[in-house]
Amino acid sequence: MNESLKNRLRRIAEGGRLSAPGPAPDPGLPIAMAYVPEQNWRGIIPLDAGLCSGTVFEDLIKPFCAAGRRKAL
Amino acid sequence: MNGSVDLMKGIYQTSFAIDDIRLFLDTHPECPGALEKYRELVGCENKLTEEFESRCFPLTADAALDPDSWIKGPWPWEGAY
Repeated sequence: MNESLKNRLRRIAEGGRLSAPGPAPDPGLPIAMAYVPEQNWRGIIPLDAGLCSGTVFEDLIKPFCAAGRRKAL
Repeated sequence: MNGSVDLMKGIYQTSFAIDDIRLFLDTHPECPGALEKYRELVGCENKLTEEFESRCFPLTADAALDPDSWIKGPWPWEGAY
């Protein structure tokens, strides 16, 4: 009766809530390793826009659109 | 209080930007552009706060030198800001 985790994930992915499995990782890159690229100073956006966006750095404005209900600012 | 809402808005916006640039400076302590902007905004915030407090009411307990001054502002349930 128990649905396997693999099947559940596939079902969720097919429902459009998660992206489908992508291509295999580059053989030169080890899996489960994360990285954070360094942020460069590029000035800031206007102060009123910064407070509304949750950051004054244009590079970091990442609206959450996963559910497809919200549009990017 | 004339213009106090705009002043308060300016303080919120400036102080938010200062917090955000401070985070950037945590990892880039020697970035001249960020340092310059940071100092500029701290100066702006001080001016705005000073102006607000002289026209309206103290924003922090430290600024309330006169016991009468801290009841000058609206109460939280009056929903001023």
